Amino acid sequence: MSRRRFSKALVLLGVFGLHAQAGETAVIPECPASPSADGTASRPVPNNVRLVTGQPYSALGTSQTVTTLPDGNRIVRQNTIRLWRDSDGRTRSEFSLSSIGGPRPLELNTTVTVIDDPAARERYMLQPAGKVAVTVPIVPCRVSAGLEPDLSVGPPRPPGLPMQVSTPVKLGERQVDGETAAGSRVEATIPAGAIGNKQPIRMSAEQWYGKDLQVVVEATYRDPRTGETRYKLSDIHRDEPDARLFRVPDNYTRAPAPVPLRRR
Amino acid sequence: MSDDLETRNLHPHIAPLFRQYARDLAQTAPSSDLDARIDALVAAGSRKSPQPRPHRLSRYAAAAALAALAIGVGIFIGMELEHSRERQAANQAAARDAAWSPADLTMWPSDSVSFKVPAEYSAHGTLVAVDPDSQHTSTRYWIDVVVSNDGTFRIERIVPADAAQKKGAHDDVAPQIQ
Repeated sequence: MSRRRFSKALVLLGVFGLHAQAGETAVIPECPASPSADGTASRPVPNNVRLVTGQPYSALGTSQTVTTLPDGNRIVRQNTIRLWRDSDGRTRSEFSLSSIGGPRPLELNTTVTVIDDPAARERYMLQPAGKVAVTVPIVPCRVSAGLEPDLSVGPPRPPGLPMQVSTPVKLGERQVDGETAAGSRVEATIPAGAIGNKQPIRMSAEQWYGKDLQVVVEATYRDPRTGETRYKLSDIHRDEPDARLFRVPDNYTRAPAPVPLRRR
Repeated sequence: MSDDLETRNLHPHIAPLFRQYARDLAQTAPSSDLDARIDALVAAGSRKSPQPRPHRLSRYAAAAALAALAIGVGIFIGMELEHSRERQAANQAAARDAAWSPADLTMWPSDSVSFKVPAEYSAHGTLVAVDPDSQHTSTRYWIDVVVSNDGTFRIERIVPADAAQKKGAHDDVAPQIQ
């Protein structure tokens, strides 16, 4: 009799456990689609954070942009990202930013550290000067399992800017620092006259996506206005990072991010 | 003199003029009569120049104060016009930047972080992120920056910091809430 009761209890526990697991996966929604290639769809829900579990890693991403001026002079800008992710999907990103190019370049020379904790549904931006961790609510979401390049993924393009975007071309697979990566290439054109340009402006992007890591491991972006940007992930380690990296230091004060006065 | 005039054969129109001239000369020749007349004129002149009155001084002070006030108002209006022109220029520049901003051609999933950076223009004309604790040396701007783990870094928007934001508690690199 007691054995039957024990079995019943086990079955109940199992059913409860399955239900709980189903409930947990149901809580994490699919990441919302971004605007279509023509940029006409609405903006994605902000502060969605992609949740990738069971794929811990740490790596160093280096992005270098070379801008060649009409007189032959060259401006080289380099920014780096130190990345960590644990098995639970928590991430830590340290952006070492020197400068960002564009029509009005910005000299930064600063490091921005961000911790995303999907379980707590919070993002922490660490401000070492004041020992403050500014918190922002986040919504974790899962990307669909298909590993096909999709132009509907990613932030929106400049609104109202007429731009013709080609269908992505698959470049096959290759090994990048021991990671199997799938490549794709896309081209885009801003027609003549759209922004005062006499000739069409042709841009291109080539990305290699680590199938296990589920991050871009190598990329090249070409835009005649900014030059060529090359990004590469190196120093990749697949072991579990130190759990302390994903916690706000004890001597930091948590403060909610100020509500902006201006909205888009 | 009069003898000379009489001895010459002058034109009838010139002769009376010469006679008048001779009389004037005779009156200005040094004499006790001339001294007396000069003394009388000097005495009359000193009687006619009155001392400045106190109420006239206060009138001058009031006029000076009004002028200073007008100059102050002018400077204030000028500064306001300059600031509004700066804000207008910044807004126009922001609109131009939006049209200019590089296309996002991300094909694969990536993770982005957006944040705001306080910045000011340097002497070289470039935007430089500033120490949040430093005094404003020129117009301060909020720069919306988006960085992604696919190697893209971009400036989304440049907005002049208004007075309310200058006094904000988080005048530092802060996450962007959209």
